[in-house]
Amino acid sequence: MPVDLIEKLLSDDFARARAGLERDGFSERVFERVARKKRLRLFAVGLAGSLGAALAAVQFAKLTGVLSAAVPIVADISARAGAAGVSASFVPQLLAAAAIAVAFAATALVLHNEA
Amino acid sequence: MALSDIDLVMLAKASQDETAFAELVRRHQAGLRAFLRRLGPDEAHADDLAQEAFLKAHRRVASFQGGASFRSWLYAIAWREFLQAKRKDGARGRATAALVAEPRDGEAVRDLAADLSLDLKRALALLDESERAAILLCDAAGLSHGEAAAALGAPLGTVKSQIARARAKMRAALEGKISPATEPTSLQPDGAAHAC
Repeated sequence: MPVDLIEKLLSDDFARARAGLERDGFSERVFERVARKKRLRLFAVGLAGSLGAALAAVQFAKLTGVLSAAVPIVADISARAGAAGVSASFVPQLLAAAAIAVAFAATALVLHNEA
Repeated sequence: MALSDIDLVMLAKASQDETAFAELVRRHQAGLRAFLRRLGPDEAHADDLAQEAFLKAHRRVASFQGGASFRSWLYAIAWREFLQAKRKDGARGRATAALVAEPRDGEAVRDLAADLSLDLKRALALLDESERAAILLCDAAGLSHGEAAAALGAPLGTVKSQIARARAKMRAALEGKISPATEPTSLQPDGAAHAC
């Protein structure tokens, strides 16, 4: 039996098999699984972001305390803010709120890129 | 004009374009599944492996470097999935047993083409997996030797030897099985299916 014949048998058999698989909904099942994985990833990122924000909110008072005590520049900012008419006692809270806002924005950015 | 695979991959990479990746799936799914179905015994399992291969390809498309064809890159993922699943199964030999097994009453297929396909499957089952994969990629799916080597992660010379061995074994196995009535009318290679 010539080698060409084996090639021909294999390629014909393969072509027959391919033809039977062209339109049986397999592609759609793959797309559905890709979409499901994407939804799961979005849900996981959203959940992690929400949990992080909730934890940060719970720890908000502590965070402002830590910022007040640990960042020396806060005192200067507080003084300038006082001069600008903003109560100096709010500055650590503003910084903490800004940190949480940054975390929110980062989560939103990830979600936006994933969507 | 239809976009090439590489164009579609670039689109998928650049803009996370799902429609570009979807087109790649549509283009290659039938060939990949036919390859996996001829490689192993279980058609449903072959389809599961093909799905996993496409999901991995989707996840890793950003890392596709373009050094090889998209097709050989995709088949390489599928080949690794196949080997991994086989290791997990621990079902060494089951594939061959299932391929060689006689059809049960009621499921016998009686037309000549199907009989021939059964003989082919049995002849393929006599090969070891690497030989089977190499001959399927080259002689059946139409990949070049280089593409097949990239897909199987083997040196080019090794793949060429595997194909030569596989052809010799299949020739021996099919000798006497093919009557003139079942032989294809033309033995001329036709197009991409004979790229090797």
